[in-house]
Amino acid sequence: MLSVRDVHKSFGDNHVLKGVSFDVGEGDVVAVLGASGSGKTTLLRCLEFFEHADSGSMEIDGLQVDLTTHSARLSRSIRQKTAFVFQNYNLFNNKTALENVMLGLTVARKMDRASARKIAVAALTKVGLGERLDYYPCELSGGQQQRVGIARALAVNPKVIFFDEPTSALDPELVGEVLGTIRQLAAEGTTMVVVTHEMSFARDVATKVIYMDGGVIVEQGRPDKIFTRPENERTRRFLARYLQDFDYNI
Amino acid sequence: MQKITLEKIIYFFTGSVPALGVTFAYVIVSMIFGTIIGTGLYRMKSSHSKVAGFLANLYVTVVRCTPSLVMLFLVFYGLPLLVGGEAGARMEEWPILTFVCVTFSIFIGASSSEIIRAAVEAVPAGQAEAGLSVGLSGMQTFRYVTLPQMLKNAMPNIGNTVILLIKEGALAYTIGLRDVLGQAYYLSGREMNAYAVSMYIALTLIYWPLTILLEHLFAAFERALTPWERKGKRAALRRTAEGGAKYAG
Repeated sequence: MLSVRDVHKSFGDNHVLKGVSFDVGEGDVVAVLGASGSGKTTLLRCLEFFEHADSGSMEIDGLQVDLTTHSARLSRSIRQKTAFVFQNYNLFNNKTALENVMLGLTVARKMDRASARKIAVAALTKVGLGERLDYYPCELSGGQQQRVGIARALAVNPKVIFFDEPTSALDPELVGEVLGTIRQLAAEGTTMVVVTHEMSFARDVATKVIYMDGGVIVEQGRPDKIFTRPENERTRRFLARYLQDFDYNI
Repeated sequence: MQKITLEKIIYFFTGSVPALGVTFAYVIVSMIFGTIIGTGLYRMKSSHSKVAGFLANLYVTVVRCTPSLVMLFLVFYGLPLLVGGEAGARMEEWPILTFVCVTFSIFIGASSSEIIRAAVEAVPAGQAEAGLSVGLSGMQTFRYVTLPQMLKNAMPNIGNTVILLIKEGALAYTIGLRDVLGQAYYLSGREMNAYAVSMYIALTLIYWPLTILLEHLFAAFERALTPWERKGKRAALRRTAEGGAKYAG
């Protein structure tokens, strides 16, 4: 359903992505793991055309596109098939929770307000914020803001939702509510690519795990395989470092 | 020794107030054209073209370094010469107000390019990215997400510019414009400036309330533009109250 081929991206002399390829099937939850600076976030940003890749291509829902394109029309047509959940939520500060979710429907998709409202209310109710429709972002906690962000992504009925470290900016006690929401979406078969540092989440929820290091995919596969029998030495070292913390939590 | 009389103050006040129309005319026209020039300059500055950026910065520097009185004379006497020939000669027939509007549009162009830049940059980049991510076009993102937030950022500066313009514009009496100040000078001149102090008092009584009124007006605009900020303050107060109650309990 989504396939990404040979993405390269440099910032000046810094070669961040050195040929990344992967496939995502319908209903897949792909967890992208890796240390900071391994290129995970840059990869997602290239797929959403927030950065122009130096080379590479993507096929989504039968639409083939060159990731280096500067065409606003083309990148918009891809963005209409995807949605993005940001690390810092990036809710529209000037709009209420409901308006945040509705904007992509009424303006980008020219839906009438009544239908858009119905969809938006349903999406917000799903993430547990049906009582907070008229709240502005600054009146919501981080966890609530991020759940509005997820509702905003859900509402436009995307083929795939990209999550860029959705819990990294949250206070520890708020991480659970956001992960719970993503878990629920996974159970309903939403296709997602999630860049994350939450190992337990990746192990329990993902259908596929990608481990990145130094701008390449070192290893990818089913989570039980990656977490219990990693083939690559680098993956093993990375997991050992992170799972130490993780083991204490069990 | 001059005498200050209430009668003369009222005379100058009532005689000059009607000329406020002229003041408002050049303020509104210059703000509109100045903002258009400023938007163009901002786009040049933020473009990838080095030449465009250089030209825009050159414009801003040159205009900033020119005293407004000098610019006023340059435009008033220089522009018809620059155009030259018959067209130039015809320009000299233009109403003085036109030259004043041109001068201040040039000025506002320079300052508003910086105001616009600051206002845009104060809106986090993630706001526009979020707009694009839900499928909005660049223009729609600007219209629905960036513009409302940047207007709020720019409003205090816009207010300052208007107030500055009203006062700076008084300089235009030097080329014969009959705005409030020009009109007052004209009336005073008819009486050999025998009551000049009364005239200045009358002018003060016009400019003060006008400026105060405008300050309040722009503050009201800013509040009307930002319903989310008021809610935010309420939420902050509520949180503080709850926090306080928690500690007290």
